[in-house]
Amino acid sequence: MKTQEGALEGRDRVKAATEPVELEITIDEAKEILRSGRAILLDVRGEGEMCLGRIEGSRAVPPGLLEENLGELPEGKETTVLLYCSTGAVSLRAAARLRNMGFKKALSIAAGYNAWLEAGEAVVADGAFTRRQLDRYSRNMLLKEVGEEGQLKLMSASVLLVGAGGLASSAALYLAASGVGTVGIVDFDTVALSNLNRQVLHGTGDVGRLKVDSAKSAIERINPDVRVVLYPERLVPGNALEILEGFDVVIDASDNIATKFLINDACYFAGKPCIFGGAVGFDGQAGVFWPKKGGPCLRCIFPVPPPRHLVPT
Amino acid sequence: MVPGQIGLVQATEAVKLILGIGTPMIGKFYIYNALHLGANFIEIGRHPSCDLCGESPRIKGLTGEGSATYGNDESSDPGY
Repeated sequence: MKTQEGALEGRDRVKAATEPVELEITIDEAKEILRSGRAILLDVRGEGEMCLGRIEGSRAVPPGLLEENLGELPEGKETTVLLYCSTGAVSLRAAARLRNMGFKKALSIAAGYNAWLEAGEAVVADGAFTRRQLDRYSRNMLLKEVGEEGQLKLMSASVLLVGAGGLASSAALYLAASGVGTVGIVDFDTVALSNLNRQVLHGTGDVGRLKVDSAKSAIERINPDVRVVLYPERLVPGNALEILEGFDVVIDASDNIATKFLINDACYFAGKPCIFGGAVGFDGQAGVFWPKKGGPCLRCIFPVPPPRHLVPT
Repeated sequence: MVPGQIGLVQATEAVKLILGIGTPMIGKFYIYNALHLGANFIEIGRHPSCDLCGESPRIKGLTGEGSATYGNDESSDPGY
């Protein structure tokens, strides 16, 4: 039943609901509050996100268990509660829920832990990574298939690229970005202007340089953590096994059939996976040859190397 | 541009092998055509009479007796 009084009450209610409630604070504001020592700091991130370290003094509380964990807070509901998650979204909703529970001073740190890390603020981490590595590889490590363990595996892995041209260009850049420990590159050639329509590893200023040198510069520009080993020579039967020995995985980024068969055979005798790749015009192929694990090798598909005049590469 | 894409597929396979995640392209050959939107995986098995990894391999090593010839020691830059 609407009375004059009831309508006013209704308007007040709407006004209260639409007035902005300041739930978010900046990193600087959060630091100020934490310095005062009178706030509780809650970390509402998921387990998989914890590998990036945490803010000192924080207490981990799964957001779904807020009510359970904070029901009997000895500090009382008048206390300031700061919350953070990875990006600020989950913590914002959690702060709103705490307000509904009576915690009038629940606040969410805007942009979350990821922003805190990027801003160079102090964190507590278990020591497997440097501070900068945590920041650099955070987007890898947040993937559940990678995590801290996966990143450590990448950083101790070694990948050999045979060729430093079109196929190797994107492979090398992304392997460097992901933090692979060691990248080896085999290529005897120098950079030519005609390479630059597709070989993005090299730039205009690299024309005339050895491709391996240019590749090393490009990799180091992206990630100085990567160890780069150079072989400015052709891969031939006489050196293949020795070169392959130091690597876990071989990427066939070569541009001619003969070398592709040599890489395939060498990987077979070395027991290493050969990641085949080929591209001509608008066609491309890829596959992993690793007979040790039950699959085919290149010769299972092509028993006889096609004559060179029939195959551009 | 296709080399770039294939190179990325190769790098991704390398990462998958290092991390031991996903399904590696072992026995599965990826065939891509950018122009006509072709992208297929072809299943390929080990061939029992393969010269290298088959039941009676003819190729026994990279050098010396029982090795293959590769002919990649002369200079070649076909343009790709």
